[in-house]
Amino acid sequence: MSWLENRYKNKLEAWCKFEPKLQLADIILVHTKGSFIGWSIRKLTRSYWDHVALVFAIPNPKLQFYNYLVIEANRKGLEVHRIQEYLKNFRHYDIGVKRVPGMDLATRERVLAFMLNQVDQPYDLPRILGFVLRSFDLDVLKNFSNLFVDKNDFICSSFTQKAFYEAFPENRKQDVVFREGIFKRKKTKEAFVELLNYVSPGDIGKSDKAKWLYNERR
Amino acid sequence: MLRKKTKKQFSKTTLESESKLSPLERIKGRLPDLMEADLVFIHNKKGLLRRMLRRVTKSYWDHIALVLFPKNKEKGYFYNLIIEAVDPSGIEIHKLNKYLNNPDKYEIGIKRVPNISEQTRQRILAYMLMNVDAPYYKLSFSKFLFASLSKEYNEEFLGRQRYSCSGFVQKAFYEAAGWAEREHFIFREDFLSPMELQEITTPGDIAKSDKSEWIYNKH
Repeated sequence: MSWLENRYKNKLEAWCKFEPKLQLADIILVHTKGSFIGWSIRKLTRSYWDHVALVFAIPNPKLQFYNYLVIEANRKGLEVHRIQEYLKNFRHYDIGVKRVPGMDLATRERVLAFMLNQVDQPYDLPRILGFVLRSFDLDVLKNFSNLFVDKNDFICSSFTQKAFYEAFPENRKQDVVFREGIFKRKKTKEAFVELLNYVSPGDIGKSDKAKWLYNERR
Repeated sequence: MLRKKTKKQFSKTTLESESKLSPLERIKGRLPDLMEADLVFIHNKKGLLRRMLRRVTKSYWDHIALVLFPKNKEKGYFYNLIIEAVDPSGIEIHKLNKYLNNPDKYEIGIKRVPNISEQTRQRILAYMLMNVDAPYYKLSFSKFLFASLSKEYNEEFLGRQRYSCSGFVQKAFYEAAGWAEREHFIFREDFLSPMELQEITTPGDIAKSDKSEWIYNKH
């Protein structure tokens, strides 16, 4: 067995030990290897992560259900997939797991309900261009970037952010704002729109509002 | 004056409830409240392959899906979600609105299998979710063309062709049922083993079967 194959085997073994600890609404962060868009997102957001998904279903032996499913916004829209999509090929993906602490079952179910209501929602690809424009330190370009954002559509991280924000009660919403400093000055509607529009997988990876459970990287 | 007002209010309420209906419901009537594992039949108005499939299977329907999560405002589910085998990606979850919002392209009918215990219904759900991302068997255009032209080939073909959508539905019911009730969930009437029948059951077989009852748009 080559050094590389051995490395992937060890990774898979580590994952298999961790997997039973997964819970509904856990956050799966993804590093996509060999993808230009993935690489661009990582560069622009200065993070190891370029994609995010949420755990949608976990095994229930009583019902003979043994799979882990994730829900994610990919370029086809909002879809449900097996987690094996990422695990079967560690050559193409690396994954990490975070969890928002202090969530009871009712809150987890509200996160799930939000996810279900968004199935088939289209992916907002032009928003990536908005990210590019915002990465320049010029106010003109930052304002111009809003033109590329469709408020009704999502990218992976804005969907995740909104799912938690909507699911949490009013007095705890601040506990799930993953983009740091966004409500620092004032909690305005504009700040909220800014949060949903420009929260990135990197923001979720770096945020202290969710705790690392597996493969911590920023 | 009062009568005028009441009439105005009534027409306003009717208009409001009408506007909540999907385009297909405005034509075919309001959908009943759906339950998990209800059978959703689809008639695809566009596409030659779909037309041939209906001709070969002698049915009005050419595709089938299952209700996965019905609308439930208490749980915060505002849409009916279905699960279906679609070409080319395989088994996927979608909103039923996909079909309701496009009456020029689709028509749907709904059946329900009666007397399913809650436990069996939950196992059907689990089976459906277990198979998310399972691959799709591609339908061969040329084979369907031959089958629609030749009666002899048609019979042979119907005994062999696998259907991802209806096969998945048949398997979900068969696998989820207990030993004692399995025979009530075999939709195709034929002298074949249950294993064979699971693969070759067509959407038409399930539509024609008396093991389930029509609750919307019977054909």
